[in-house]
Amino acid sequence: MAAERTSNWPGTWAPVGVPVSRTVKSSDAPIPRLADLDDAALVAATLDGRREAFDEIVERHRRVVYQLCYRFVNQPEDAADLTQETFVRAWRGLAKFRGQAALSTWLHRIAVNVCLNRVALKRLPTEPIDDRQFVDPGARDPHGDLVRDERAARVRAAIAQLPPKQRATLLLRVYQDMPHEEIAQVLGNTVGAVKANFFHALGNLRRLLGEQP
Amino acid sequence: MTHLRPDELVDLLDGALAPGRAAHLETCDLCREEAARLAMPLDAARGAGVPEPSEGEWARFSTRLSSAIEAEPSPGWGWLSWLAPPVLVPIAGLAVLVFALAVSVDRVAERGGWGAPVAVVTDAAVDDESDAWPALVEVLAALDLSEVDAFAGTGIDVRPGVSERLVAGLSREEFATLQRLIEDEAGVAHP
Ligand SMILES: [Zn+2]
Repeated sequence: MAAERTSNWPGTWAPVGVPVSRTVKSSDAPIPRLADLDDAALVAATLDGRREAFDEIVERHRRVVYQLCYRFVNQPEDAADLTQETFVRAWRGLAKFRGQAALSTWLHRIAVNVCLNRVALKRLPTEPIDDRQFVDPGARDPHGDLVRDERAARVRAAIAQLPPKQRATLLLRVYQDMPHEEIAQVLGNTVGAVKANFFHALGNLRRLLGEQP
Repeated sequence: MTHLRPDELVDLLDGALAPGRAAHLETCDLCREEAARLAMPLDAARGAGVPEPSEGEWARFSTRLSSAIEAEPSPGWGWLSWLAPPVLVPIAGLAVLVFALAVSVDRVAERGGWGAPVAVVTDAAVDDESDAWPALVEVLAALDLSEVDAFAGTGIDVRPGVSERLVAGLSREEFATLQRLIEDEAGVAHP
């Protein structure tokens, strides 16, 4: 059985001729638990008006999106803010997600664009790398959590100093395991430019971390 | 034989170096050294985790995000949700609307969509709007946004695939910037 649900036109100009109702199928079968649904089914459920399905999407992906944003800005409050912005945009654009890529990939695309836009809009100072102090790689003790955490913090700080496109390229390649071709699409570069950016990102990162034996 | 180029060194890190070039690597200390120099920061990056937010922080995050989502129109409307009242204002909004429709009409058609929304919405809009409208439509039709220098540094990314991003949603600031730029380009006087 199919039921028709009518939504009100959300704006003030109701254009003539554009259908203002969408047909949503409902069935007598029991509604599956959200946790049992895959991402594509969650997207469909959200578009069918199940708001809680989007909460499940957020629950599943927020951690990785947050990590990507954190690595971009190296700051927890901004990272949370950018993560929120990513999901708001995902919500707005959900009807455009047609499953041609994994939902996680699509979210990473949005996240990296949100991060790049933030850097551009805020006009954050991007000092030339040569003017920066090299980060001291610090003592290395493979048995100490503290030392490991400190070292990770230094690496994150160094990554956050990379020029935005190099940073985005490095993050998508290393942490999201995105192929160069896909990074090229996300960043609007050629594959050659992505590889060059990745090469320069690694070179700069090495310099920022200091030469190590 | 020539040394490995940067892109070939990147391929090497990916384990995707062309076999012919791998033969060079076998015999060239310089290239092996260069590869090792790149592997160091790569390993460092891979090993650097991110501090995990606490349960309380995630709870606050969820609350804030929920409020933000509540303020948004339903995503089921797709690009039509752009017409939500808080997003658009009359004449400036129309500029953006026509642009959005222009870039998304092919996608709507692909989805077996809803007739000819450009014509329909344009008709409705012309009835409501000022004399500037026909000129605006003309300018917008001729406008190649990738050629508009004014976008540089605005945070609005203009490139192939811009429609994807536009329809995927702009922030308020980006929206305002886009409106202003299109108005400027179209020669619409600011109130
Ligand atoms: Zn060589």
